[in-house]
Amino acid sequence: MDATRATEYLARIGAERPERADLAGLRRLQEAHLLAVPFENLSIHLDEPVSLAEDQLLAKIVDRRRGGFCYELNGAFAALLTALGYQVELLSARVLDGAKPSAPFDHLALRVRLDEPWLVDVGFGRFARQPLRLDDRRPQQDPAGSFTVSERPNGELDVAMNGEAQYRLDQRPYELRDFVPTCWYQTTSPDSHFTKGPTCSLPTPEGGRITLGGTRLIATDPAGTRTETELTPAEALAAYRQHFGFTLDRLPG
Amino acid sequence: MDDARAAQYLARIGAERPARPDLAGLRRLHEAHLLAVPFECLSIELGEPVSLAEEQLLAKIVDRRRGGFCYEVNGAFAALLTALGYQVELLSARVFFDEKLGPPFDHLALRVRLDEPWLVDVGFGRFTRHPLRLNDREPQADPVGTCTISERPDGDLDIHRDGVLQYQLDQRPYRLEDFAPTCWWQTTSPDSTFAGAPSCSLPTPDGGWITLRGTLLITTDPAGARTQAELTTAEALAAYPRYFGFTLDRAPTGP
Repeated sequence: MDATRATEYLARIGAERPERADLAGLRRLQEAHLLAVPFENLSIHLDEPVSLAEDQLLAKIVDRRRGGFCYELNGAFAALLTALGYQVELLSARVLDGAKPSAPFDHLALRVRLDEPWLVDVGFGRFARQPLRLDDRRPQQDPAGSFTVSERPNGELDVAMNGEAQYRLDQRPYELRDFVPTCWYQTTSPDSHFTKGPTCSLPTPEGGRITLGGTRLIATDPAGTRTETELTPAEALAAYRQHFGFTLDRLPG
Repeated sequence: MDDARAAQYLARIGAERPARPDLAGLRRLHEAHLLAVPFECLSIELGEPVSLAEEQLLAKIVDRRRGGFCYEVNGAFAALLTALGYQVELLSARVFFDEKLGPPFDHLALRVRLDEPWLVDVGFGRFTRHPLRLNDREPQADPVGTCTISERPDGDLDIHRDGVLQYQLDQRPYRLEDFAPTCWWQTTSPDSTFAGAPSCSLPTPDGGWITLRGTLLITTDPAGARTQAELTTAEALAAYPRYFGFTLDRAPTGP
């Protein structure tokens, strides 16, 4: 990514370029990214191909002001951070939301090396607002909750939010192209939960969240109270612009 | 897999049940499997779903006498070996092809633990006839060539045959379902090396090789000399039972 493209990306997320590649800058960038770029799987339901090539990721997220799912969001953010001088590695994770851990490469998260390694994740939907210390085994307080990172005997790291297991990280770094097969599976297999229905979600600055699942708009306030509204197709189409900042030609699905 | 199913599997590959799960038995089973169960990716072209569920694997390989590609063939063989008392683990590998390494889970190979760990692979097409010692860094002679295994700084193992890198093995064991996403990619993505290239191949007992690629029949003799014959569709359909021991309703012809 050249300097012009990095500037455009920073404008997209409403962040200033950090003077140095330090923790304060990383924290600002992560929060800005989370608040500006939705977690969404709409490409699957619009028959758009999902590409992990850097220029395609930037065209979607920066130029078209869209969001994406983990591979796209964390893949693009990794490219931005690298362009800004951060040392970034891509980690594979198994998601821990079912009876058994999912497959490796099911999730992509980032490790950023400063004085110590930090977990950076802007592509998991509801997750930490701030980077988490990967080497710290004590609870870490974040606006989104209390997080713990615990190491398993085989070296993998389990990340929990408010006592609930979220995902299991392989500490070995990979390249973005290593995630391509599982990204393809997520976008095309009937067994993937991303092919079940369209969703688009963004946290609100004060700690709430807004999610559009098909034509159902779910607003969660900072205290956790949910308000659900069933929209007409025209209202749903307008909601993408109003709540998420991009325009679609047609409703996904 | 219960005993009756294991007996059917052994009958399918023409092998006797080893009295003990030892190296001699493993070598016989490995060779019998390679010579009986073709390496083939015909399901893709035939529009058959590829399932890694054990009962589906056994229905395809044992009952329908078909073959499969790495996940299927090594996945099924792992289930058989486990049923026979072997300690088997599934390993992920990146295949070195076209001058580059594929993604993790691109290939599935087996590690069988006896006194020492052995690499067992009946699902890579042209590969060794016998298990290889995973901890041995000296060249290992096999009927198909000389293999060397070297450890990389990151702990992966490079597997070479006759000086050419075949694949890079992650030493950490995985579950069969961990391979499912990449198996799906291999069977459905236009970027997969298997897409649009229906192929079926089997080694011959004397050390040769027979491959049917679409309607092209390629015979390789033990000395490595290749003979190619372009078949009609009807001839290709007849070649499956003749050379590979199973019958298809229609011939996968490729693009």
